[in-house]
Order: sequence, then structure tokens, then C-alpha cells
Amino acid sequence: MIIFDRARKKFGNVDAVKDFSLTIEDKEILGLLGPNGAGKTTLMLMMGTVYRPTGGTITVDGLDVVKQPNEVRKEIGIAFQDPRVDGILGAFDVLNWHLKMTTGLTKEQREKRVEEVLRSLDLWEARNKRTWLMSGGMRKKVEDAKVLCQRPKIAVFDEPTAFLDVPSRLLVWDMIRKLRDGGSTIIVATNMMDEAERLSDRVAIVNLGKLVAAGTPEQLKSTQKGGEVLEVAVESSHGLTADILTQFSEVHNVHVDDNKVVVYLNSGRLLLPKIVETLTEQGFKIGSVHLKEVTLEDVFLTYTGQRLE
Amino acid sequence: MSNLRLVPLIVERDIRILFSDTFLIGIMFANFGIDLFVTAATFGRLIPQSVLHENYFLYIAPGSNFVTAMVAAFQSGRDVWREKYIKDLASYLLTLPAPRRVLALSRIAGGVARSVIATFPGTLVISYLYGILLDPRVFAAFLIVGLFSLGIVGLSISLSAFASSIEVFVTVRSAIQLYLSFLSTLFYRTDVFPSFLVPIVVSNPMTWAVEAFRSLPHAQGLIGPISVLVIPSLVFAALGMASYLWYARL
Repeated sequence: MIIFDRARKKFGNVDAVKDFSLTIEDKEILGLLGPNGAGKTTLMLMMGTVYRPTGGTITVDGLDVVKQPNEVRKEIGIAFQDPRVDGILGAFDVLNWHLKMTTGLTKEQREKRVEEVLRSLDLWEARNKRTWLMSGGMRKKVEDAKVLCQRPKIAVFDEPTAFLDVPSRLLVWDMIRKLRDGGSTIIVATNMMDEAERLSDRVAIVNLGKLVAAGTPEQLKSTQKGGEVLEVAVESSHGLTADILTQFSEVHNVHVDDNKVVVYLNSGRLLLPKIVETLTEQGFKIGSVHLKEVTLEDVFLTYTGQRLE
Repeated sequence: MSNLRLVPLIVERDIRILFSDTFLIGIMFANFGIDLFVTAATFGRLIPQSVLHENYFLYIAPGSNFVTAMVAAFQSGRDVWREKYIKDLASYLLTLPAPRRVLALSRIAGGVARSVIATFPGTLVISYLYGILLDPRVFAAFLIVGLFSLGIVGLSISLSAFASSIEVFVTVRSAIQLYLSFLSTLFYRTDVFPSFLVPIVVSNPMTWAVEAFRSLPHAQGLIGPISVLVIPSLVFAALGMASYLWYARL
């Protein structure tokens, strides 16, 4: 179990993480969802004993990251956002050395495991190619492979599928799930909604260094009143205020972007013509209308007031 | 104690990286070749044996080897700097299950190993020229090179911990290399220097290293030539470790 208890981190005058409290259960996949600069990487590096928390405590299986950093490091494996591999070495050497450092496996066991993971990630043929000569996607897979080979008790993936094509993303997700099934606790930091939603058992939304919401994707979506979202594209939202639409009792919340109005409501099918009529009467030119169920993206928008690009 | 098993693994990584860069190895050997065979051969003709009272080729040979050791040792500091500021590998290394002091010790040991490997052919050639190749004193020759490298690796890692840019690192390194090379007895005997420079020359670790090496053919025991380098090398290595621990602190 990992416990963040009012963890804080300041860099100079900047609060990268503010009073972050969260408990991560054993053998779950926790998606840490937030935009770039939200503090996700800082949280992971504090847990990984690279940064010292400015305040609060972080414990990993009862071990304090400040007081027992050496013991904590034995539990953790981190796949970084930007691949941290010796560019001059090949993928096989990088992974083999990583396993030497982090596991007590024999030479045969190490080589077998590295081969298994490299073959699964379709990197076996390129195993001796210097990693700095690899494409961004290949390098990213080598970075993920470090933790997939290591099979640590706590596996951390920082944006594991950045730069990857769709088949590779699905493959990496599948391998991360298998790692969880094998007994690892997984933390996946991501700014991709579908990754958080499809991969995570629970999602923690982080914004500006703070935890703003946490729960299963379904729980988070159920916090949205109404359960439906109406997206109305308008030519210009200048002068469009929420109260124009909150006059309807079925409308629970309204977000107005530059050229888009997002309405959280129920009975959407019945209300849609009334909303279109109201907006048209007010002089707003409507481009398109889209009625859908609540997604994690809508939850994120509600809690943070911004969209993840 | 179990953490110490990680030391050879980290050293292995440093050596593997060294051997992956064949260009760098080529440059270091070329450096040695130019220093020893070209410089000494030409200087040898400029400075007749009747003036120097000894063969200049043999006089300069250990120094050329130490220059190669110095270049290789500074490479370790440069690598540590690059890991932090360019490749951001430092955060990866710091999350590995190695206590910081083991990591620091390993980086120093890795630097020394790389330096001794880079000078291995040179040390053998000079030991042959000095007539000690098939003598136990050949081990002392390697130990002197290793001790000298230990000090320079410590110095270079200290520099890497505090240099805010590669320009600062390169400039300070060049200044140290100039001091070590030209304010020592690498090229000339002490009596050639102006008297006000002599205290600087005699306190130069390069002077101690080359003089230790030059004394090997006449040495009665092995302890004497080696002992002079032990304390300064350990002091610089300790400085390097302390700097790395500061740089890698949680």
C-alpha cells in the first residue's frame, strides 16, 4: 500500500505538489490523470526517492521514503516519461543491466525474461541497435520494458504509451494489466483520457499539484449530475452565459468555451430542441449539436475547468 | 555488505559505455601516441642527451601516459555531468536500489577502471622501455597509474557536481589540465622552472606521479614510489564522493 499524506513539494517559490493525500491499494492500477505540469512526475519522483518532499509523508508498504529510501527503492521500478536509457547501448544490454541491478535473477533467467519482453514488444530484431538510433516509439518501448522485465512490487509508468502507435499502445496496456495480475501495484501517470479510463482500476485527477478527485472511472462519471452531456458548437460564444441554460431544471451545469457550450443535463433528447431554440432566439448561430453520455473528459472538465489536449 | 555487490555492476556499465565509444578510445590512444612518439621524438632531437643527462624519450614517456589517464579520468566527470543535465539519466540511476554512497563509490571506481584500461597499452609499453615489464615492479606501475587516476576522477566528479554548464566544466578542466601538464615535471626537471614556480611544481600531483613512475627502475621496494600518491589521491577521491553525494542527495 502506498500512502501520500499531505505530501508537498516546492521548487523555489513554485508549489509543484500541494497537500496531496491519497492511498493506493495493493495490486490495483491507479491512473494519475492530469495535464502537463500538474505535478504527476514530481509525485512519482518523490515516491521514487529522487526528490525529498517539502512537507507531509509518503510511505511505501510502511516504509518512509525519506527515512528508509534504500528499502523503498528495492520495491519500486519506474518507467520514465522521457526514456532514460544509455543511448550508446542496445536494448538488450540496457534491460539486462537493469535486471542485474534490480533483481537477483541468474544470467539465464535474466536473458530469458529480457528476450520474452523484447519479443512481446516486437523489439527482438532490434535488440542490439543502439537506442539513440531508435525511433521515439521504440525508445519508449525500451523504457517501458525495463519495468515490465523487472516486475517490481510497485511499478510506475509515466505516460507509458506516449509516441506509440495504436497497436503498440494496446500491447503495452495488455502487458501492464498482466503485470498487475502477477501481483504488482501499478501507477500510470497519463494525460490521455482513454488510457486512464481503459487501463485504470481507479483514477486520481491531479491539477496544479493538487488531488481534485479520485475513484473508479464509473464512480467519477456518476458524480456528474444528469449523466448526459450536450455539446453545442456555436459560431461565437461572446455574450453567452450559463444562466441562459440553467433556467431549465434538467440542466445541472454549463461550461462555455470559445466556440463550444458543454451542458450537463438529463432528459437530453427531450430538452435538446428547447436548448437549440433558446440559443437561436438569443442570436447565437449553432454549428452542430452532439448529445452523449458522460465521459472521464467531462469529469475532468468539471473538476479542473479545463480540457486535456 | 550485500549492497557492495552492486559496485562491480555499476563499474561494468561505465566500462561498457567506454568500449561502446570506439571513437573516444581511438582519440585517447592517438593522444598517447602523439604525446609519446611524436613529441618525445622531436623534443629528443631539440634537447640532446648531453644537456639533459638522460634520454628525453624515456623521460617524457610516463608523463604522456598520465596525460592519457587524465583525459580518461575527466571523461568520468563529464559523463556524470551529462547524465544530469543533458540525458537526465541521473534520476534513473538514483531510483535504482543502490544506496547513494554505493553509487558514489561505484562511479569513482568505474572512472578509475576506465582510466587504467585506457592507459593499459601505454603502461605496458613504458614498463617495457623501463625494463620492468617482466618484474613485480610492473604491478607498481599500474598501481601508480590507478592512484593518479583515482585522484583525477575524484576531482572531475567534484567539478561535474558544481559546474552549472558544460562551458564551465570544460574551462575549469582545461585549467586543471594545463596546471597538471605544464607546471609539473612532466616535460622538464624542476631546476628549469623559475624559482617562484618551484613550490607549485613540486606540489603538483602530476609531478609526484611521474617521479614515482620514473623511480621504478631504481626502486629497492615498491612502497616508496607508490606511497607519495596515496594521500592526495584518497583526498581527491573523498572530495569526489562527497560531491557526488551532495549532487545525488534526496
